[in-house]
Formats: sequence, C-alpha cells, structure tokens
Amino acid sequence: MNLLDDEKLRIMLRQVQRPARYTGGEYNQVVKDKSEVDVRFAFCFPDTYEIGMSNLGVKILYGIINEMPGVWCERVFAPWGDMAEQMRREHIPIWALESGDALEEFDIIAFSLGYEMAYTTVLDVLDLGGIPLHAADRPGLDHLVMAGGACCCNIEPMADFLDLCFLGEGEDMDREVIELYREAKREGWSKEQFLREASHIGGIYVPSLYDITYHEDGTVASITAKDGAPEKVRKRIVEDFENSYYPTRPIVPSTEIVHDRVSLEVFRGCIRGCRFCQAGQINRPVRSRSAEKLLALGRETLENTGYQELNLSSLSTSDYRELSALCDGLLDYCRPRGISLSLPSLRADNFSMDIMQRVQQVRKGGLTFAPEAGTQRLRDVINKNVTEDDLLESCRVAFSGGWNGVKLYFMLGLPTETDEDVLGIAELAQKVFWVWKKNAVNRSRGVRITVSTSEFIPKPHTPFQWEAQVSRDEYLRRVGLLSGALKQARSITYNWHDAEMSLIEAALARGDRKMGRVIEEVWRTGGRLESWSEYFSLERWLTAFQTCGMDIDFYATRERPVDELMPWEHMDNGVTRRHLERERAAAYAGKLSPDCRQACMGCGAASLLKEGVCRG
Amino acid sequence: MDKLRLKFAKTGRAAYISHLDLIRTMQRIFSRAGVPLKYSEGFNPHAKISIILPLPVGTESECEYMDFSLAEERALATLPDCLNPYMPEGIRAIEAYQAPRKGSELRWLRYEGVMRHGRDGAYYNSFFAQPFGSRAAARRGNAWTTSPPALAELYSRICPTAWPLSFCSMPRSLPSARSF
Repeated sequence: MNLLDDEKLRIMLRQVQRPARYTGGEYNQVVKDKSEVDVRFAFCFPDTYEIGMSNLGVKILYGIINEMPGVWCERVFAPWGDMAEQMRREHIPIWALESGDALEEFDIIAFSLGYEMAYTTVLDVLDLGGIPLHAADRPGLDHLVMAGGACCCNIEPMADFLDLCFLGEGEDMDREVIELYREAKREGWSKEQFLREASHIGGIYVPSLYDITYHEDGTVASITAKDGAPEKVRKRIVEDFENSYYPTRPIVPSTEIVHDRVSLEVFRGCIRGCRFCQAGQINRPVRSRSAEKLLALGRETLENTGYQELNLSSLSTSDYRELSALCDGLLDYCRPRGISLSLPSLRADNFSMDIMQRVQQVRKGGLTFAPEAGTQRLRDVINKNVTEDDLLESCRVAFSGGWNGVKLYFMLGLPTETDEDVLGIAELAQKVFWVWKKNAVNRSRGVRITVSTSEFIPKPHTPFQWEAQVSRDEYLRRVGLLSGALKQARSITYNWHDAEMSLIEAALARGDRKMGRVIEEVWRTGGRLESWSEYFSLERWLTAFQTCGMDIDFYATRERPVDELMPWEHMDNGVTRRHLERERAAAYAGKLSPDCRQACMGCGAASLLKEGVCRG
Repeated sequence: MDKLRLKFAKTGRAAYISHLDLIRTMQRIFSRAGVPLKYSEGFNPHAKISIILPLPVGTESECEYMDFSLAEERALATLPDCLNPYMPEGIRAIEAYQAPRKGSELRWLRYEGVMRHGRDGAYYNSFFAQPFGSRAAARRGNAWTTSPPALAELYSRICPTAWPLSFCSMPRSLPSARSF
C-alpha cells in the first residue's frame, strides 16, 4: 500500500519541516511495475534526505541496481525528529520514497555506512520499519539486512545487527549478491545456506560466520572463520574505472540538498599517503578516468539534470594528470551556458592556483587549505607533503588575484604533537595574514582568515591505527593554548569542533563486537541522527558504556601494542599490515614517504589489480 | 522573448515543494528541456522567473502562474509539450502566452475547496461557499472584503481534522484565466 496516500500521513506532512524530503516523485526517480519485479531492494541511508541524496555512492548503486530487470531499488532516508515522533505516535511505518511502500515489503534492506555516528540511526530505521534489530531474530530470507560503505573496513560494532556486509566498491558485488538472492528465493534456500554461498563472493563478509574470542583484558584473542567462509575477506574494487558505471541520469531532488550539483568522479584512491587518512589508504589503488570520458559524462549528466553547477570529485583533484585539459574542456561547455565549475580538494601549490584562477573568474569567496599541522616537523610525521612555502605562495597568488578569505584546517592531538606544534598553527595563520597585507588587491575590504581545528581520530587500516587518542581534557587544553595565541591576532577567527563526538567516533571506529550492546543501549535511550549536534549526547553514550560494563577509554584512548590482534584483522583492504607498520615507524622517525608516482612503497594494493601493477 | 507567462498545475507529491524549491526546480526543467531562460546581467546572474502568489506548502493547485523571459524565440503554443517530459511528478505546464497584464495586478482569487471528511465539514463547506478574499490579501496584509477568518487560522483548523483533497486556486473572478 502506498503510504503517501494515507490520510494520516498527508496531514502529518503538512505539520513537519520540509515535507518534500519525504514524498519522492523527483525527476529521474525510477518507478517499476511491481508485477514485473521479483526482488525489492530498499537502499537505506541512515541520515536525512539532504545528506543521503548528496552521496555519489548512493547514486551509482541506485542506478546500477535498477538496471537489473526484475529488481527495483528504492530509497529510504531517516526522518528528522519531528517526523519520526509523529510516525511513532500514529503507528506509520517508514516507507520508501518511490512506491510509498513500508520497509517490511522489501526483500533486501541495505544501508550505506560512511561514518560511525550513523550506527544508531540504522537501528532506528529498522525499528521504524518494524524489522527485528538482531540478525539472529530474523530467521528467514525476507528482510535480509546488509551494509556497505567505508565503515565496513571495521564493521564489528554493528556485526550483531547485519546479515551481510560489502567490503570495498559495490558496483559488481551488489549485483552478484542480488542474483544469488534471487536463486535462493526460487530454490527455497534457508537463510544460512544463502549466507554461506554469499560468503564465497569476493568482498562479501558474513559476520555470523566468524567466531571471535577475547583475552581476559578484553582484547581479541582469535578470529575464526567457519562453514567455509574465507579466513580473510578481500576488498572488491572496480578495475576498469574508465568504463565503469557512472550515473548520468541521477535523481534531481525537488528540494535543496547539501551537494545540489553534478558530481563528476575523476579518480578513486589517492597517491598521497597521509598517515592519518583512512580514505587515502582504503581506497587504493588509484584508478582514473580519461579527460575525454569525463567530458562526455559531465555534459550528458548536465543535460539530463539541468543542474547549473558541476563539481570535480576525488580525494585530491590536483593529482589528476589531465586536470588542465579537463578544466579547459569543461569550461568551454559550461561558460556559455552559465554553468559553474567547482574544484574542492585542491592542494596548496602553484599548479592548483593557476587552475583555480582560470575556473573561478567571477565569484571570489574563500579558499580552503588543509595543512593539518602547524609545524613542518609534524607535517612530516603525518606525511602531509605541503611546505609552509607552498602554502604561503598559494595564499600570495590568491590574495593578489582578488580573493579575500582563507580557511585553514588543522588537527589537534596528532601523534607526537607538542605545544610547539600547537602554537605553530597560530604562527602560520599570522604569516598568512602578513602575506595578505603585502599582496592584497584592495586592503580596505579586509581579510577573513579562519583557523579550524578538530580532534585527531585514529582509524583502522591506517599507519596510526595503534595510536591513542588524546583525552578530551588534553584536547581542550590545546584548544585553549591555541585560542590564547590567536586572541590578539586581527582578522583571524578560530573555530574548534568539540571533542565529545570525536571521542565516540574514536571508540566506534576501532570497536569490536562487544560494542554492539552499547550502540543498542544508546538507541534504546533515545540516540538517533547522532552526527547532528541537535541530537548527539555524550552523556547518553557514557551512561550506555557504564550500563554495559564497558570502558570507553579501552577503545578510544588506549595505545595498542603493535602485535595486538585488531578486531578488523580479517578485513583485507589490499594495503598490508607490514606496510602500515613501516609507515608508522617512518612517522616516529619524522621521515616523509614519497607519493605513489615518485616511488612505489609496495603498500600491497596493487595486488588487487589483475596484472598486479598500479599505474598511479 | 520577454514578459511571458506559464500557467501550470502543482498537484500530488509536488504539493510539498516549497516556493523557493519550485523556482530552482523550474529553472532545471527549462534547462533540461533545452529552452534557455533569460538571465539577469551582473556578477551573480539569475534566471528571470517569478512565481505569482506562492502556494502554501502542502496545497495543491490546478492553476498557478509563473512569469519568465526566454533567451531565444520559441513557439509558445507548443512550449508546454516541450517542457512536460522534463517535469517531476505532479507539475504540469498547461499554457504559455504573452502576459497581457502585470503579475502584480493579480489581487483577487477565489478558492474552490473539496473536503473529504472531517468533523467540521459543514463549517468548511459554508466557508468556501462565500467569496472571501485572496492569497494576495493574506500575504500583503490588506483588509478582507468579507470577514472570514485569516487563512492561517483556517489551515490550523483544517489540519487535525480534514484534508482538502484538491484545494485549488482558480481566479474565477476574472473573466477568463487567459485575460490575466
């Protein structure tokens, strides 16, 4: 039944904020004839419509799955608090936007998990759909609950709730799992049989097929695969990225979303080996599309959507070999049509500034740079290959080109950080100010220099996966130190993110299966949409840890010995543990590692490619 | 081509698209259809379109007006057919023509409400039966010609009890829609 025809729901829609996020019907949404559909797939994003619809992965997989005949993939997003409250009061289950059908009418319920703070929302969406939370309480083949996305590189905290996880890029394995599911349904397999078979598909992780034991101190003692499941689950990637699926007909939301534009994915992976960065490690090896291909895809998508803005997306767009040709080609198409081009993720170097100036001829707002650390010593530790000279030169070009604002992003609490490094941030910001003073086109307009810091969170599968997070008090002390140093500085604003959420993120990111109880307890006591400060509560998490008899510091602020068995040891991202250990040692020695193009460090990711050679 | 007017319907799921979102959506519809809107000059060019008397979110209408200008000559008679394949569900172009009068001259609208059920059905039916002013009046704070309660109060009374299935705005006080 289409719930959107329900009288009660239609009245509710008039009483909530931004009802268009709940009603679907957007241009390019896919609607299929239910009589010709035998697998119904609910693609759930455990956050609001505005966030979920901005996600490129959602667009890709929505397109790919809907290309399969007989399979209908629909979207489900988490309702905002006002709507969720009314749904619970009026007993209206969560629905999919295309058909308006309740979640329980779907065969497969799959979540995209890109950040840990979405975990409680997964439980909330399941509950709003009337689906049992625990995998063990869902005996049959209906309502299989799956998850993919970056969090799957350590999904252990969510293991009790999920039937099956996708490690790596979903383009191929999603289709393979759906085909297998269709066979299972036809042949009347049990859920166990289906999961056993699925575990043989590359990249598929079935948590229930792994037994975990623990030492007395709470650390993992062993991880044992059973029933023929692979000892290590190896990440899947799209080898031929040039010709891989790109959604040239994405849904065009009828209400404004966060990234309301065409997002053209230039390449995957990253040649820089920043030691704190999980995305740079788990998305290896680098694979790119040709400029020619990208131009064609970009033009087609702009025509199919009517968007007036195109964004080049990658982890470090300056590292795209054909960036100059691509920008020229895109500008030729976009300029006469009034379409603007945006290039986030540029490095602070001359080449990038030149591109920036060509692209942004009209509006000159702010530029954003992320030096990440205040001193060269610490930047070397984290392998952020940006020098102070690079940064100041970029600022000089920007200011003399008419820009009058710069945002600088840093992390506090990085391994080996001292007070000198913290104060280095203030010095660097001050130098940027002097550069402006010397080079400003119009000094009477003033300048806005914004320094932002967030707390470093050690993530799995990075060279810093063993590190302790600094305590919240220590982070706040460093914030105070920096804040004091910036107090007298004119034209410099200092923002910092509170460390409350970082603490929880750190615990979840490196959590094990025991953490599932804590997540459930947090949800039971009201936690949902917790990446939103409106809804996040540190208190609730700390209480839940206590209720479950668990120690949050064990997960967040404990340094792990190098030989400790990590909860995610059975997840293989291509990058070897040996490489991570080497990089960690290099960090402590303050030694830079070259990027993938200067010299191959043998990280191991090349082994994911058929020929075993990575082209950077 | 300047001073053009589009008569369109906004029904079903499209009723939930807000005024600002509708402007963005309309721009994209024209752009997808390959019908170039005229843009303003200056640093921040924006399409020259304006929607006359925005509908409250959640209200359906069979008769809405949008004024626009085109960057190139187009046959107006076929323009709706040109645009309709590129619409989201619930928006439908009905007619395009040279606007004979200014949008700001539209002052009086008469609503036709169809109530499905509700405790106060009789009250609302009698309410809708009388001529009671305009959206424009409500928006601009003008005095009402008759003395019905303000629309805001009307909505708040409708919401908990009844749903106006197709709550339409029809400028019936004008000789014909076309003359506006």
